[in-house]
Amino acid sequence: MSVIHTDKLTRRFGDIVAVRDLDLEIGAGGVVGLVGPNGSGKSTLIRVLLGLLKPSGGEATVFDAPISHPSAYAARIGALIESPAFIPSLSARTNLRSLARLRGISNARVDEVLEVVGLRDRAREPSKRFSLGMKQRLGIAAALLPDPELLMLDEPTNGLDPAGIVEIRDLLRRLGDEGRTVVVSSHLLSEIEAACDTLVMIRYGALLFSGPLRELVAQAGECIAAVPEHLEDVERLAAVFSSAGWPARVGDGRVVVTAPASTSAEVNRAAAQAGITLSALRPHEVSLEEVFLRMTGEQSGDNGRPAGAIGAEIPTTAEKSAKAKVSA
Amino acid sequence: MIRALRSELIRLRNPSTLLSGIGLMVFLGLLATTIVLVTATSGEAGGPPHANRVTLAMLEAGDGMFVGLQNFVGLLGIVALTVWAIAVTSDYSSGLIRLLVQAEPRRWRLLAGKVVALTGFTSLATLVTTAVVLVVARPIAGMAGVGTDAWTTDLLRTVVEGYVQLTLSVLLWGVVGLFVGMITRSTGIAIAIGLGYLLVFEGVLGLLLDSAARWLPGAAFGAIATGGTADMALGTAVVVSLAYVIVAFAVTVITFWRRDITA
Repeated sequence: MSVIHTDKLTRRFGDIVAVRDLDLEIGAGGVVGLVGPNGSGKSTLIRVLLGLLKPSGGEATVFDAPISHPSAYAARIGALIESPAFIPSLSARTNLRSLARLRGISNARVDEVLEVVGLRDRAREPSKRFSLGMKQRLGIAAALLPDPELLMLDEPTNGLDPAGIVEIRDLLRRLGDEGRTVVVSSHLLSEIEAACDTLVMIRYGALLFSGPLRELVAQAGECIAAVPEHLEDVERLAAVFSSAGWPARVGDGRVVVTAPASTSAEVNRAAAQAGITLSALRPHEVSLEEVFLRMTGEQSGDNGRPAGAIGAEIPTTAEKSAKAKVSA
Repeated sequence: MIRALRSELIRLRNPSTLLSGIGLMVFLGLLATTIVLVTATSGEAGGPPHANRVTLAMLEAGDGMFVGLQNFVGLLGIVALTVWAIAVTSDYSSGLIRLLVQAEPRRWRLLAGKVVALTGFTSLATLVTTAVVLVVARPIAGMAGVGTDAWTTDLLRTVVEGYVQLTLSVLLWGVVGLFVGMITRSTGIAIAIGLGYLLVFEGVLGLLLDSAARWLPGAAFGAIATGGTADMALGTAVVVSLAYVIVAFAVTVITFWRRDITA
């Protein structure tokens, strides 16, 4: 069953194309990571799906209902969009009760969600006294109020301390395991990697990848990490590998070469022929962050967005994933 | 709509909103009543320079205790305008509007709930103001030498009539606040526009338009509070005000319905 389906979904802000011809399908259940550089259109996509923004083109459905009629599915969705918004002078409980009234939800459920996010003991305090992390928890509690089948969380771990991040990660996993669909956008890729089964990656509003996380990492190919004996040789070593036809990048005093482990001997030989002694040569497990940086051009979205013609530079992977299906 | 109303009422029960809104209205009501009664003389009595002159005979009539409120109704109206505008703009500035529209995408229900809740709040504020003025007007009148014998004649009718006219007039200012708040989405700009129009622009227009100025919103709303003026009968004032309200509501609803939530 498709929970979210988009077909050439587009949203423009004047000349800026925030979401561009997006074809996406997200199935029921599991945790889906929505990643992309700043300004890539993640929040805009979530807002369009929630009915806060009207699309400029294309179509989309949520729970098989068109997004032009969000009231058909609003009761089945909980969302946290950007920073949590509450009335500062009202207590956490009163803020949630106000939202519960709007949704026709009982006060008992308010206390339940406060318990889930660990704010039950602070429920009487005005939200203005809350730290950023506590406000974030309150925002997640608000999203959980309708006991949603689909939870859309935009940067849910913002402001949380490491213990809080782990708690929220566990909560997301638990919700996903219960059969709910959790779409979580975050720039903390290690968190996405730890919490998500599937991934949707966008840049300039266009789809870069959509599918199982392991498939994306596998797509990046096998890698070998070569550490030169002398740190000053690291750039030269990368140039040697590149000229030999192996894509190579430098990081943390080592060169990561995209090549199968079976070519280790050849890699070692190429280094030796260039007069560089290696102190270590081992298989390298590619992280989501590395894949992300490679796919998004290793550039901040804020700085990298080309003026006007947004989305003009669509990588090959996007073409390959023109209609990728995420079955979580 | 009932859910939206109940949700809005919880937010309006915020002590700071209640105390500042109602407290300010009571304070201004008392101030207006005191100024009008204390500055009363045997000839012409006190009152704002641009308003109809208040005579001692008017103050000593059956509804004399409310003359101050009626003639300074614009002050109470400004409080209502501010409260209604903030009720809209704060949803945008805090980002709460995201949660509200997501929870209830039928935006007209949200707006209807807000209008009914604010109407209740404003009616309560004018009720408290009327009650306080009713209690303190007599001692002030005594100190100012204004006769109050006629005040007890048909007191209930006078109080109900005065309250209804006052509330209706103040509510109309509130609708202006809702309209300006929705258009601007900024508390500061909304209040500045509201005050600028009412305190400055309409006065200037009044000088330019002469008798036609009675058709302007502020004049029509004021005429309702006083139960009609020499320039405009109560019925005419209600019809003119209703026309303004319909236009303001229509623009507000269409704006809210069509606008993207980018807050």
